[in-house]
Amino acid sequence: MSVSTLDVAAELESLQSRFKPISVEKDVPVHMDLGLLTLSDPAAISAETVAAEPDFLKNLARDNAQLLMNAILSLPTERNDFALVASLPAITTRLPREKTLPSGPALTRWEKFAKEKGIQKRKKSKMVFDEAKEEYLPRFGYKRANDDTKDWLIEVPKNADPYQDQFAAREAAKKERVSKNKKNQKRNQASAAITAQGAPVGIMPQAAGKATARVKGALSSTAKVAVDAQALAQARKQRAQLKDRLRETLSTTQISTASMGRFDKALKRDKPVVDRVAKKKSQVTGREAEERLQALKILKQVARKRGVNAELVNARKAAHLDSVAQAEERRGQPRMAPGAKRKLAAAKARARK
Amino acid sequence: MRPLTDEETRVFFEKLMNYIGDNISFLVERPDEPHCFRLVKDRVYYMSEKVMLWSTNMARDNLLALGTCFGKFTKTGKFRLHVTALDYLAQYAKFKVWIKPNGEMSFLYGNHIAKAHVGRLTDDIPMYAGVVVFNMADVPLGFGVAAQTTEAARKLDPTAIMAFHQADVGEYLRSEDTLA
Repeated sequence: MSVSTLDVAAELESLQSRFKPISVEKDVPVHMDLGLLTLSDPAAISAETVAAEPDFLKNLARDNAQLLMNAILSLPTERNDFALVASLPAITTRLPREKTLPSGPALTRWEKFAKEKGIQKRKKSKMVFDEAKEEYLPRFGYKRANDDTKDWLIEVPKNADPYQDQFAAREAAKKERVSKNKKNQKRNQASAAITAQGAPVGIMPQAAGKATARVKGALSSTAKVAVDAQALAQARKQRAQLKDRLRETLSTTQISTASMGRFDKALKRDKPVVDRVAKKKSQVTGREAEERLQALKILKQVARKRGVNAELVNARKAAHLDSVAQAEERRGQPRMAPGAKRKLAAAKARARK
Repeated sequence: MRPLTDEETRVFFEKLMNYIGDNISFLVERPDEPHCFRLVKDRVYYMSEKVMLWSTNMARDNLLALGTCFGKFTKTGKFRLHVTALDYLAQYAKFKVWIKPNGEMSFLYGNHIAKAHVGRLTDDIPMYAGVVVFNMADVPLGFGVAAQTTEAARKLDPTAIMAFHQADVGEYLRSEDTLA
């Protein structure tokens, strides 16, 4: 037994000399996020130390890994059928947001201008004193204070046409203001729609890279610049598309009249945008040789269709000749085939030789 | 002014083929000087390429006619030959009819050709083939369409129509202002 005891002690000693101790001493405490199984060592490393000790980084990594393992094994564990499982705590590291912050509703033109100029909204009281009625009345709406629509008399302003209907003028001015406001509202809505559609989600790696080159700063700020540039480009593209569509619609409406737009009075600034399929214009000069070839080709087609070239044997002519020959035969005068006379003469000449 | 499109060329050649057959190729490919067909305001003109190149200096509105007018395209896209094309038709005609001096004036006033006026005619003219009309001195007078084949014509009575009138040189006087 004593032999075996000794053996165990020796074995342990040899093992301990082969493996490094599991306890690690650190001068600067490390940050650990066990939820992410991460350890970061904030201790500074000098180049001299690394140069002097070749295994320094390796040892450092081993020590830190050991620390991480220790920490993980100190967590509550449980053994299931396959392995020892440690339950990890929640993540403590604060990670950057994946997506851009949602932007608020788009600013109207006035809001934008006011923001630039630093104009702030002032609270106005709801009730206003009406001097004629000598009481407080609402500023706007039904039974409002100083209601100028209820005037029974309007002083003709200086330099105004005395015969102008001031009541009508007031009403017209009001209508004008309302329509102008409506127009502006529509414009704001349209631009808001474009920016809402246009802003892309997330950071494009390429754009972010470009932005970094231009703007030196923290990652978050470069990313924001990149996103802004992206959104701007997108908005521009959409604007161009909108313009194209508008032009297309205009060109359609320009010819959507009974005379296909031919006899319509053009507006002063209404340029004809009709750009239908351009009529293929034939070149007047410079293609003469090609033209001739084409003409001959067509001639051949037409001739084939007509059977003009098939005139080598003209059926009508052949029939006519045949009937003539037959008639002559009947009369007892055998008709000589064309060329036969010549052949006969040649044969006679040969015979004479 | 522009060259004829393929379709126009086809229609034009089909009409021309009635009179000169595949001799059209001699018009297209001239050994003396390259010529071409051009369309000006629905009329087809035949001219040397030199003339065509010169005419490109003219404003479109100012260009009335150039070269030889062969005829015009109707609004329905058919082609109608004019008497101005007679010189070329006579030169390359496939089928000819010669008329006697007593029939000349009748034809030149725009009448059809009666058999009695025919001096001689080409053999084997098919029915409704285009024929060019000459007087007995071989001066081209006009052109028309054969009303009968040559064969059938032999058996016709003298007053029967031998060829339908289409155009004659009398038009130079009769419709002076509409000819181009």
